[in-house]
Amino acid sequence: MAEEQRAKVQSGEPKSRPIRLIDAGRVSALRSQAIYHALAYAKHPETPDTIVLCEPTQPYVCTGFFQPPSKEVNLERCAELGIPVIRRETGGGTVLIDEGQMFVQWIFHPANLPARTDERFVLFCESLIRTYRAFGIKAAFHAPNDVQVHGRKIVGTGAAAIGEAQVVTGNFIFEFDFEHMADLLRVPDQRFRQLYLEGMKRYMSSFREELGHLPERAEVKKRYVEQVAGLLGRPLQRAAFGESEKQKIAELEQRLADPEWVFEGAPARAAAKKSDERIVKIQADVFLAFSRFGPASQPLYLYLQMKKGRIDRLQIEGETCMTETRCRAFENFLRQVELKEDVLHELISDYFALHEVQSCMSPAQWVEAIMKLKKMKK
Amino acid sequence: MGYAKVNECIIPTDLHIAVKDNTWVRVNEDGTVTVGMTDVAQSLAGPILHAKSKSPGTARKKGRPIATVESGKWVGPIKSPVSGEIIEVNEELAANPRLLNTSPYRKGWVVKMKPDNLDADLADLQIGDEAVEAYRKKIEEENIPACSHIEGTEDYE
Repeated sequence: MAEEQRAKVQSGEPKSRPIRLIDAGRVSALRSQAIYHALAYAKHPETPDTIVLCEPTQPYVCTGFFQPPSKEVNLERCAELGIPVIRRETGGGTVLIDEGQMFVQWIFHPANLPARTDERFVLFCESLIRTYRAFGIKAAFHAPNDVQVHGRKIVGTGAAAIGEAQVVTGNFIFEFDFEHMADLLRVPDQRFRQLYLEGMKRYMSSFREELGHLPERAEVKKRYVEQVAGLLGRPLQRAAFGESEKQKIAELEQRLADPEWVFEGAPARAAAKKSDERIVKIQADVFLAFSRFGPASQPLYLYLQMKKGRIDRLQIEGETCMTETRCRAFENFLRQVELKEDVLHELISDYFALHEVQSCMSPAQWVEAIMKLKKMKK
Repeated sequence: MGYAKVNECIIPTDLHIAVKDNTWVRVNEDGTVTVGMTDVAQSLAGPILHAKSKSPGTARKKGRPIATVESGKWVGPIKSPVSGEIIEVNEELAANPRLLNTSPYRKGWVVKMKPDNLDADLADLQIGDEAVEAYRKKIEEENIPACSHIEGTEDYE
């Protein structure tokens, strides 16, 4: 598919027209986000397509355009640790960005990328996949916008139409601080945090995890430039930011840091109230959902990790009227079961009958509760 | 309601269309207009997960965003095809943004506006065969793939 994209891209663009390559090096948290926003807003028809490489020098939490930080981020913890929260104009979820990652940012004329959003991601991801493969890592595209190695995510992506440009961003993950990420996300309780941490460790990877060591950053950049030039069939020409672009970057740094933009008028440090529902995405196919059921005097908490429409992991806490042993056995019994009402109903009914299970909830109520968690996934 | 199909994309022939920005305008009897995104726009974006419109009372110049949508990590604006004031937003889109995919010309309308200078703005839009031909040209020139309809099209079939 990437070859088809390449052919399409080349058809509308002279092969000789170089892509501007700006290696911005190590930059502040805010600048690592401001650059691509600014270049997109400053873009005019004659501005060449641009690829920026940059590496943040400090950790920060970055939320997607539609992800309200007050709901997504542990703002109290961020404030305590002095971690900035930056909201971006691209899509996707809440992520921890730090020195363990290197950004790749494409700011292109729309006509020079595939018209369809999904095809733009295919092309962009291919440039990162080829680079990982150059290091012997068997990275592969995973629709709609992930890069995975043996089922573990190894690239984060986002995209947007900003100003007159189409922007696609992603990052090479050299190493990832799972504990820090779990600490900074807003979660309903500690059990959810632990499950999220374990989910990330199981379903995310990095250069360090795959190679056992960290490759030289300069070598990764060199390989990336070779691979992307070959993929797009266009030479890359090193350049620096123009004066007007530098001004725009400074302007965007102010705007992206403005609490009015980040929090959209919501209180920046609203006390985190324990919510009754929460869902987070761990990677393209894996979601962790939580919900509280039952009366306040006898609450039941369900934690469901879903993978490709099946129960990957289920944990039950609270009053079930089952023995502890039976409850754990029930959780295990449901592993890998398809998240479909009829399938669940038949299996749970049979299980309860076979083991003469005493439960506060009937099989139908268990199915309803589990399906409620599934439906939280958009 | 008439329509044409170009590369599997549905192009209504009774709506004023801003082909460049993939938006449409329906002129209402009371002089207001209803605005939305075209079948081409929803197909290029893919399944839409979030939609947020500017609030009623917001004045918009032609070409400025009246709403923002997200489809699988891509965020983009819906640009106003006319200048005027937003007087109503489609509240259903916040809860069910997929209406933009399944019914871009009816249930998935985005905002209603009170236009500042409708005649002048309509002169820049295209309607009927002219719009169909303009889309045919755009689809060819920009290598736009055949439109895909994630849950069929409620609008015309």
